[in-house]
Amino acid sequence: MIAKIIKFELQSRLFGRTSILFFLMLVFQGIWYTKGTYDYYANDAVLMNGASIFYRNFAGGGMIMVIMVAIVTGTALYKDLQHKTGYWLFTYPIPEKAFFLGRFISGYLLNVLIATGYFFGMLLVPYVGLGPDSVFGDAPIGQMIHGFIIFSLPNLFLLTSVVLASVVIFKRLAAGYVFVMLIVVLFIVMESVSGTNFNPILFLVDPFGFLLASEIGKTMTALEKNTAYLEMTDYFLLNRLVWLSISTALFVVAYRKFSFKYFINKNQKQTSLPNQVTSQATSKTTSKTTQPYAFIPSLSFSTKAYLQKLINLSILEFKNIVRPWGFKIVLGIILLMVLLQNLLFNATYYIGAQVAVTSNFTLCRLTFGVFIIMIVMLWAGELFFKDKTVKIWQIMDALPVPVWVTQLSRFVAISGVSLIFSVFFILIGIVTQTIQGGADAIDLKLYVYDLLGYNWGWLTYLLHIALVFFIAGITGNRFITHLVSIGYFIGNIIFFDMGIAEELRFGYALVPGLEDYSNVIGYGIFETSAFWYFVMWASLAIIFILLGIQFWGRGSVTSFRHRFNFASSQLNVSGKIVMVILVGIFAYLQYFIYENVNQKNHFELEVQANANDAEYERKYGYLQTVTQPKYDDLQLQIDLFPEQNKAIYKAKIQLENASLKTIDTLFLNFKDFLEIKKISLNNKVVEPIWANEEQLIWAYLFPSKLDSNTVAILEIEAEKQYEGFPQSPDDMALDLIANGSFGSLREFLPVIGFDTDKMLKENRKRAEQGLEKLSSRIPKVADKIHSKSDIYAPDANWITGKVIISTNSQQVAISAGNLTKKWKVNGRNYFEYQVRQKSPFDWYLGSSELTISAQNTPFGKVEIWHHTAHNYNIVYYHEIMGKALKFVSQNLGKYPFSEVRLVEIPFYYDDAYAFPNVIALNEKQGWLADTSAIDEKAYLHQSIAAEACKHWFQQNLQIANVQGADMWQTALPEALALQFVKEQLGEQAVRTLITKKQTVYNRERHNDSNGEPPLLYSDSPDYLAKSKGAIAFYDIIQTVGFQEFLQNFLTWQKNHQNNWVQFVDFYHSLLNLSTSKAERQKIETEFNFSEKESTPQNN
Amino acid sequence: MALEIKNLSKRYPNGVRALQDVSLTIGKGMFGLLGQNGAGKSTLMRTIATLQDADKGTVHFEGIDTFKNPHELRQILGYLPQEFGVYPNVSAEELLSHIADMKGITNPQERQEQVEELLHRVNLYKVRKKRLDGYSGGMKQRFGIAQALLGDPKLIIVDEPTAGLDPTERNRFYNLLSEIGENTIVILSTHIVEDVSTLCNDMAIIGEGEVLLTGSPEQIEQSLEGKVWEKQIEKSELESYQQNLHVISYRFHLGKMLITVIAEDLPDGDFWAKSPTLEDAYFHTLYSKN
Repeated sequence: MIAKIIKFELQSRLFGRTSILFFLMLVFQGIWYTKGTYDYYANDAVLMNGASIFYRNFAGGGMIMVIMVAIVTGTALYKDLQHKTGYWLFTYPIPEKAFFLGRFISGYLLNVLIATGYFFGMLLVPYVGLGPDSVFGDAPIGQMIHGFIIFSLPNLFLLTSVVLASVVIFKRLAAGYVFVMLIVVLFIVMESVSGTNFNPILFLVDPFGFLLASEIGKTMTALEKNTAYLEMTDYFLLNRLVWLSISTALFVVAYRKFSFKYFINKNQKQTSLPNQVTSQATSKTTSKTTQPYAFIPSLSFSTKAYLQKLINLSILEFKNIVRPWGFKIVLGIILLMVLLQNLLFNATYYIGAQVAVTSNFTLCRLTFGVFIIMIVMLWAGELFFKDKTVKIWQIMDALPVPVWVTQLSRFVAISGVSLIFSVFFILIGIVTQTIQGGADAIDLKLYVYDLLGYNWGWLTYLLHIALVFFIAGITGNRFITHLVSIGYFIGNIIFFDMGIAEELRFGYALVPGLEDYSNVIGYGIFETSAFWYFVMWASLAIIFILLGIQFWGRGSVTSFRHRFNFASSQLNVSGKIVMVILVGIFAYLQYFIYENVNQKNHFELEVQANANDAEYERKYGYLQTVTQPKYDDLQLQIDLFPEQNKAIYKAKIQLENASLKTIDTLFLNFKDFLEIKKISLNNKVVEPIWANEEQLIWAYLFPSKLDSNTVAILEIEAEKQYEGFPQSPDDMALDLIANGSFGSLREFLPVIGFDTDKMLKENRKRAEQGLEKLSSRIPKVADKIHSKSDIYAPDANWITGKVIISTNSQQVAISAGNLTKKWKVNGRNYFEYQVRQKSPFDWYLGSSELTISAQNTPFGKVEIWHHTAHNYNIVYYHEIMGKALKFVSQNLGKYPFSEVRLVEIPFYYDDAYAFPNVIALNEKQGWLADTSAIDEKAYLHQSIAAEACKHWFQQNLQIANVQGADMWQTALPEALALQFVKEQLGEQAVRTLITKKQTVYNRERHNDSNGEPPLLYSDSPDYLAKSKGAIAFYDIIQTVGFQEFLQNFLTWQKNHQNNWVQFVDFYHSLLNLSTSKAERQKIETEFNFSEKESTPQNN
Repeated sequence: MALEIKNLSKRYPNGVRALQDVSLTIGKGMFGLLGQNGAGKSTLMRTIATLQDADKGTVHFEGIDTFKNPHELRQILGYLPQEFGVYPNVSAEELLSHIADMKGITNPQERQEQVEELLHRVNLYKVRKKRLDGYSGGMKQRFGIAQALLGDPKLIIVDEPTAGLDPTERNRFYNLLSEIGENTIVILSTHIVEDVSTLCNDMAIIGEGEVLLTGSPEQIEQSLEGKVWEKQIEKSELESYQQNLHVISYRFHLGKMLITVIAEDLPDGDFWAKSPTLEDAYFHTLYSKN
């Protein structure tokens, strides 16, 4: 019997339209996800059809898979209720349990067979033109089958069990949708909160095993990623076991519960009462029928009456949605999850526990946004087709009510329903914020902006409801409406997330800056750009609504051609005029945004930017070997106008030709948005002999040739102003923003010669642009030219200088050096900074609204410049700063500065900067940390001490611009900071930090675009020195002893004080000083071992 | 007051010709539209009720061109479709009140009065607070009747209205319709001949999208006066009679087969004359068409 049922079900459904459509969509998803995962792994040795990419795909499953299961599976049982076939089918002599088993197995098999589309899609990847042949290898068929077996089969079993158990228990198809969505929410939440730390609970709770697949994949080498079978770790097996058990339990519950009598008698209890009442009522009211039908009510069909109907209907529809228990259950579950997230998960969202500021409590809109929007879209689709679904359309469509009243009322109702979510999110946020002691920091304006606005809040929901409205109007089919609208929504997000689409003006309802709230400056410029994007989408949404009204199929479904008749009167003339005006407004806003983002703010697609960089390298690569003078002294006067994103400045730069050659031409690379007013060389105004304004490089002849060991004076008068607005932080003018400006002086001053910042460093991108792959991202140790140039600024000597910087009256200006003077003129604040001792030219400036807290220590004056509201840890920072300066002074030597400023900067910038007299920490590096726990204490100690140590290294080591430089720049200061933490907080605190560093290293090393180098030859990838390098040094310090290590190092440093130093030299010195073979081997292993080659490296 | 249907034709995308040049003039009172399943009755009803466009032809009522101004017709229309559903989560009273509002009864007091009256008339008053998904098929049908009568409809279209009603409720409905039909046009679409003969003063028979016959039930019945004959036969003889005579119907009575034949004269001595009924006329019309 079971076999017969399965055979019939598969025959009748497998080749149906829905199955084939989903199969094809999954083929597409297989291709599309593979590309996305490939982009996620930046390492150029990873193949696009590598095994680990496919494992990740199978584990994720994808939204189309989930939607497919939700739609396809429930029908296996529900169709007998839906089409009332159960009334006769269930009278047949079929064993009930066999029937259930047959339907369950056929539903599961159907899912599995359709899901093979995903498999085929992945197989097709090499043949659809996604990349050159070199990025594809042989298809890892065995690994793919393995992935399908360990992920797809159990995950589909889980989803099938969830859907069919829900359908059996609730006897509603919608119950299946809801519970599948909840599984997806669980998955999304687990993925969102997993963060950087390995948390076994999250990995077990992840229903699809995706987090583990992802985590295991991250720790694999490129070769393993391409070819290896996924390691079945204990956690992995446990995860699979847990979810298989849950799936089986659901299956058993459904199996036991299912019976024909139970399943078919949906309304048995409800129908008994009316029948009794009817029979009683019959006799009583029979006499009434003899009375005349005389009551004639007055009728009104005025516009006012229709508006009143719109309100009444909206209220009625709203009540109809919120009344059922199903809605209350879904709402309750979501709110509970938001509550839990606010109470538990936000606390570890960033670096560690944070104080309860409002921005933490509006994050739920991002975590749950995708799900909420999907569910709202589904409800909207159901509501718009409600009359057709319940088959009352013939009655309702024949009523004398215009389409705009009935359909708009539904739009309003579903908008009201989504408002419930947003309002509850606000209430839960306020309550949880208060519970966590953040009552004083409640920012109602931010709650409203985030949760009711267009930053993935309520207004975003409305935009998506409008989209459904439009799609419903043009398709006239509920199923297609769901498919197209949800499909578009997911595609929209994923395309931008993957970088397949880059211009937000083409992503309906997307606005810039969603995740870019700064506790220092709010959304900053993104408030402006998001506003204009929203206005544009709002105009399109209204067009969608009007078109939805115009095309809504009233009455019997008619052909597309018939319904796409603009002449029909469903939308009146006024509506059509409004629509035409809105089309004009939308087109203008598209242009306006294009003008501001692309033209004024110089946005370019990644491929364009890469092509430009490649062209720069091709054209001007020769400059790498052309002798140029170097910065030797700087006098800068710069006036900042933050509110205008503008700076006007004059720079006087002393250039030195320290080479043996005579120089006749000066090559200057400027940054974008600069307008050079005047360039003088040795007091003579000069014009460029050639310029490439596309590549931002200018060439000037010296008035008289610059001989060896002579200097020249370069004077620059320029103005910089950013215009337009950005669409992402990548395009943002960070050095000149309304509040929180911060940037390198090189944003204003030229790079001399060849600008290595413009080189494409990722080998995959280089290959795409036809450039030779790099064996090292910075010069090799043997490079004779660069071994005598500075790692911080190859075009500069160590320099002295003075910066006079002014800003508006509300802000303070920051620069490198001692603050020697400050004054006010014409309502502007002026600051004079002087760098009196020669320093590497890696200086920054900035301007912000900050409060200053000063304290003197025996080792120097400490000032903390912080956002006024972020005063939570100021006392603690002072304490740590005092200890850190003492640590540096006592262990390394005199702290190089008599005054030091710890400055808070927005999170757009890197975590931390150290430059003369300044340590700049971004807002997420502890300013808001809850420092009651050891983890956060350790983090703050470590981050401040590391920057203080960097100050010492910057002033005491002339680090050559060759491989291994970041061991001095970063690794050793970080290791010393770990030692500082050990001394201050104990070994356990250090272990916590080392675990974090190890996690970062494990995660990032195989994502290294060019392959991980050994530490000795590190070519400065972002992750290596701070994680593996710091741990390696710390281990050696612990092995040889801190004092002994210091003594060796300081001795070596004194011997090389006035020389350019290379890490490789210190490494050999360490080896020579090592007292045992074991110690020597340890040093070799730590610094000169690459897993890529599995052997010690010789460069 | 008259509904003028002229040259109405409709072909569905699958090629079925649902209406073929249908022309009818329907005056005040009950008008019966009789036809087999799939004859085109519901298509015609939906077209009149502004729910479907025709390929050709016009429908006018009281000066309203219903294709050009469907909204005007909807203001005076009461429509009960053949099949309909209800919103599951609302009560009959709520939904009727909502529909009354949609039909233009904006005064809440009046709305409530009419809803209550109709709930009494269709015998649903006691269960008016009950959710509609708890209603039986007959109760839903009575609800449908009530909604069609809301407002002040001048044109009432009821498509298979007595389906699912027990005899008591069917009678109640007949009474209600005949009261209403005194001042309005009521179009009753059905395949139950008795409904038409009981209620309608005018009627049409429709088959394969064409109007086959129009007139009053009496006229149509009388047109067969003296031409309807009946005979008891053996079941095995049916085929032979069908080949030789104009057999419009056959049925069993007391275990024996009775055939009804149309003929100008007595076919043979075993036949007896039958007083013509509307059903005979209906079968005759369909037989002639085929």
